This record gives sequence, structure tokens and C-alpha cells, in this order.
Amino acid sequence: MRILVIEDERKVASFLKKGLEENAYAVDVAPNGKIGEELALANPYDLILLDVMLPVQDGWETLRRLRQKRISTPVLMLTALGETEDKIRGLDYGADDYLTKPFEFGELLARVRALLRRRGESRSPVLRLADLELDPATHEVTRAGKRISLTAKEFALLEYLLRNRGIVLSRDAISEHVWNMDFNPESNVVDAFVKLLRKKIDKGFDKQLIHTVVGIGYVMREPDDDENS
Amino acid sequence: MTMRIVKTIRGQITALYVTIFGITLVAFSSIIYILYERKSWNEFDLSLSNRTLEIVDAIKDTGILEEEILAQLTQTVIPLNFGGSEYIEIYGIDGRPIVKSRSLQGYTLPVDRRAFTFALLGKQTYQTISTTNPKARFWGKGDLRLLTYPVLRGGITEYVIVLGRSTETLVRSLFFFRLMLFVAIPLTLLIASMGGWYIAKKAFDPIDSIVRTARAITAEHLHMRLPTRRVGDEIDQLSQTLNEMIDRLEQAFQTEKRFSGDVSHELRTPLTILKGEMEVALQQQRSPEEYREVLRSAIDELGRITKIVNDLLLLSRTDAGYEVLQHELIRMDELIMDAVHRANVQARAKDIDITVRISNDVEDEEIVVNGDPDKLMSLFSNLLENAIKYSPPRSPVVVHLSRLNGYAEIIIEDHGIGISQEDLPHIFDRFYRADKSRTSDTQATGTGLGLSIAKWVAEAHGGSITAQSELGKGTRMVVRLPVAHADQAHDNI
Repeated sequence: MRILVIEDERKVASFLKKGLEENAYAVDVAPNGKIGEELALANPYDLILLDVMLPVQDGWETLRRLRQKRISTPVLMLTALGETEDKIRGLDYGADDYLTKPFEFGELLARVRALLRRRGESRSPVLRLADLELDPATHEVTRAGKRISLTAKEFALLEYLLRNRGIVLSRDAISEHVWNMDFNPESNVVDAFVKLLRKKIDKGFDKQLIHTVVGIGYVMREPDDDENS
Repeated sequence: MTMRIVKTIRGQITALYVTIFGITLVAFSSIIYILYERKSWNEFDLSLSNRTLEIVDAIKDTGILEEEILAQLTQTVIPLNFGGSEYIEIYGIDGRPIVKSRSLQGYTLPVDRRAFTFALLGKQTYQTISTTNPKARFWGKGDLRLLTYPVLRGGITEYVIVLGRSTETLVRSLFFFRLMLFVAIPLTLLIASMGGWYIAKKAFDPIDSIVRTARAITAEHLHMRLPTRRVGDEIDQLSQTLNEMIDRLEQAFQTEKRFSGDVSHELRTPLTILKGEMEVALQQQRSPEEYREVLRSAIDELGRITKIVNDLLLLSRTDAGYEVLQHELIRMDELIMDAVHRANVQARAKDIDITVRISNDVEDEEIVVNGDPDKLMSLFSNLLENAIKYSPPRSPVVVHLSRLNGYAEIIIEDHGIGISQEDLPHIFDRFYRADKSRTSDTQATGTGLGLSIAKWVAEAHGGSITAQSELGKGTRMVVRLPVAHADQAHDNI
């Protein structure tokens, strides 16, 4: 899951990036509203963390312009303005949630999870496919009741695939949602990580859950009967 | 309810109006009544006296004194003005009645001895016999007015005519007059008070509407204004005056609100960093170097909070007038050199050269300012810090010191990013950041209060601070401080 942080305070942006990346999110940082808007228009983010008091173009204006350009990515506003009227204004401008600084990092993570969950069709916090389960809150992945240990990147990749289960995802789509801007599109990093993930998820099980779609990319689904036979 | 009415100005005006009108009315009516009553009695007495003359004439014509004549007189000769009964007795000088009118029906008029004695002496007497007089109940209602009239011949009383007439009609007409006044005055007052109330209401209705609107204007609705009718009357002037006051209130309120919002923002940012960095650090096991980094950053942020709190405290003390300046005689050239020396640490980091230029006349005679050395030092340090912060590396910063019309003029000039014309008037406002676009890529140092404090320091010394700037070319901060008087300077240094 890829998150855009629009925040001008260098240190705030920095700990947000670090904290979120350690929770298996891909994070880009924009230092002002204008750059934030450009990034949000250029990349398919799953969530935007938006500060209100921003140089060049403030958070309200950035939000308004994004919504005007039909960017429906969930937006969580982060601001030092704690007045109810500011919250109302933010929500009316199309923000999905509102968090007042200073905030608990744990609460921020919970709200991020809730907003990402709201996007997908599944309302259950735990993502499931066959006997595979992934809990975004605890970062626990189990298959047939057995715990599987994943790295942050592997976890992020699996979460993205699981959220879009049944949909064929191109390598570009995967890289755009799981990696941040530092990703080199020429590389075969996606293939390499899918290979690693397959080893941990599917190896030793009858039902293969990660499938390669030749010439396009990957998809997670329960195997068709004829495939098994 | 009554108390409430009297408490309103409308009620007070009505009450005052009714009181004044009532006093006037009662006084006027009383005078009219008194005059009328006196005139009525005079006329009554005059008619009695005329009557006696008629009787005298009649007697002289006929030469006889007989009951018949009196009867005729009382009935026919002259019709009575007041109606009612008329009683006549004629006495000889020995006090014996010679003749009586028939209307007396054998009664005797209550003539007293004194009046009769006066009559013998040739004087007429009027007297009023009350109905309470036991001797005299025959004439019915009302008092009896008696005229004892001597008829003289050759200066000597020949006989005495006593003429009596009931005052009932007169008394009754006076009574009705009084009655009319007693009814009419309260009635008039009632109407007047209603009229007064109406007029007062008419005059105060616009004030009522002002009161109602003003009541609705609370802290949340300060954008509301009182209606003006644009006719320029007193009420309009009142509304306009109040509106101007509300304008100022709204401005003060917004400034206050913005200020507290700014304070909150400035404090929340370092708190957010402290809390966030520590929480993220605790997410997992870290290396000692990482923990050290978090602690270093925490100390920086605590320093930032401390500086904001100190600056805010200083400003609130200056606002409240608690902050007191020290007064020492300070050589400006020394102070400037000291400030530059301190700023050099920062300047060297950016390869910036600070040049100090002291004009020739200053070298001949030092410029001495009577002021607070710590505050002045913080003023110049702050200006130098800004000049360095907003200058590109290796660009010069120049400080000029000169004397100008009794002022020490210190100019700090940089070739940095400059301030836009739209920001320039606001740079001394609290928390105003002209460098909004730069906070993102440079370390946002300072509290946003430095220039506000600098301005206060300059003005508290009786001086001034002004800024000239052009975007992209640089900024000139001009500080003027009054020079201490020569005698002060020589006495103390």
C-alpha cells in the first residue's frame, strides 16, 4: 500500500515516512501543497496524509483541487488546528478522516488501516484467501494456521495482492502501489519479490494461490478445479 | 411590572413628563378657580348691593315702607339673577323691624349686633351665615349672605335695610366647577401619560432595535452590524459609533484568534515531532546510534519549545507593561562589534563575511545610547541572524553605524532572498512568516516572534525599526535609537 505524505515540517515528514515504512507501507513525501498535488496526480496512491498549514498551497486548497480533478484517494488530514470548525471544513472539502497534532502514532496507523480497509470491498480487518490469512494490524500472516514470517516488503506485496484478489495486476501496478518513487521501473524487482513470496506462501501446499499471467503480471486467487487436477 | 416600567428611560421620561404636566395643570386650574371664585363672590355681593339701592329707590319713589312694596320688589321689579329666595328686613334705628318681606314667612334674619352697630355708624357689612347657625334654618340649603345696609339722610342713618340671599346656587356652581376640575385633571393626565408614553416609545423604538441586534452580536457573530437608516439623526450616529466599535472588536478578536492559533501551531509542531519520533523509535529494537539521534532531535525540539515559551512570556510581559528596561549608557560601536562577533559563528558556516562600517564622525565622538544592553544585544543578534539565514552562501552582510539628527542609525544590509512588497508591512507581526516557501527546505528555525520582539525593543528605547526590501535583491533593516544627552554621557563614562 502506497502512501503520500504532504507535510512541510521536515522532521514530522521524516518520522512519518520512517514509521510507516517500518509498517510495510511505501511512502513518498511532498514538502508543499503544489508538489503534493503533482505527485498525487501522477501516482496511484492508496492514501494521502495531508497537513493543513503548508507553504505555497495550503492543505485545504490541495484537497479541493485533488477532489476537483476526480482523485478519490482517501485523505487523512493531519493538522495543528484542532478546532471543530476546521475538522468540519476538512471533512466537507472531501477529507476522509482528521487527526490533530500531536497524535499517537498507533492511532495514526489504526486510522490508516481503517481507511485502506474502507476502500476495498472487504470490511473485515483480516484479509483471507482460502486458508491464507493476513492481519494488517498485527502484521501476522498464517497459512492453514501456521505462522509465516515475512519481511516488510514481502508483507506489503502480499497485502496489495490480497486486497486485489481475483484481479490480474500488472508489474507496473504492483510497483506503483508497493514501492515508492525510488523504485527503478527497469529492474525486475517485482518478479524477484513475487518469487520470494511464492516460496513462503505456496511452497509445500497443494493449492497454489499466486499465479503468473503470462505477458501481464500476477493474480492471487483460489485455483480453478481443472488447474488442480 | 411598575418598577420595570419606571426603570426604563421610556418610563422615566413619561413619569417626568406627567409630573411636570400635572403640576402645571393643577397650578393653572387652581389659579383659574381662585380667580373665578373671587369674581363670583364679588358679583354676588355687588348684586346684593344693587338690590338694596333698588329698594332704597323704590322706597324713595313711594315714600312708604310696606310689606306690599317689598313683596312686589322681590317678585316682579327685578328678576333675581341667581334665582332662589331673597329675604328683606328693614329696621328702624332703634333696632325694631319696620317691615319684613313675605318670603321670610315670619322668621327673622340673623342680624348680629356688631353689623347693626356698624350700620348705625353709616357702614355697610357683608356677612355669611352658615347653615349650622341654629337661629337660621328657614332658608333651606346653602349659606345665607347678608348685607346690612344703612340708608342715610344728611349723613345720619335713617333706617337699616338687611338683605339676605341664599348662596346655594353660587356654591353649587362653584362646586360643579371644582368637580369638573377634579375629574378633568386626572383624565387629562391619563391622556397625557398615554401620549407621553407613546412619544417616548416612538423615540426609543430605534434604540430597542439596536439593543436587540447588539444582544445578538456575540463573539461568534461579530460580523453582524447594527442597521443604519442613513438619515444621519442621533440614532444613526449611535448605530454608526457602535458599528465602528464592533469593527475594532472584531479586528481585535480575529487578531487574538489568529495569535492563539499561531501559538498553538508553533507549539504543536515540536510536540508532534517529539512524540512521533519517540513513538516510531519504540516501534522496534534500534541501534544505540539511532536512539542517540532521537534524543538529540528531542533536545532540539525542547529547545525550540523553550524559546517559543520565553519569547511569548516576554511579549506578554511587554503587552502587560511588566517588562522593565535596564538603563545603562552603552557605546553603540562596542555593542555592534560584540553582536557581529557572536553572529560570526553562524556566518562562517555559510562563508558569509560581516563588514562593519562606522562613519567618520562616530570615530571622533562615540555614539552612546541610554538603554538595556541585553535587550539591544538580542535585537541586533536577531537581525544579524535573519540576514545570515536568508542570504545565499558567500554573499556579504554589511552593518553601518552613523549619527543622524540625535539618533544612532544602524543599518543591517544583506543580499539575500528579500521580502515581497505584500509581506513587508507584516514582518513585524507576531508569527508572521514571510518565508513560507522556504520553511520546507531549510531548517525552520526561529519562533516567528523575533522581529516582533526587535520592534518592541527599538520602540521601548524611544527608537524605531523599519525594513526596506526587494525580492531577490536583499533587505535593509534600519534601526534608530536616540543618542543619550552629552552631559549624561560625559558624567557616566
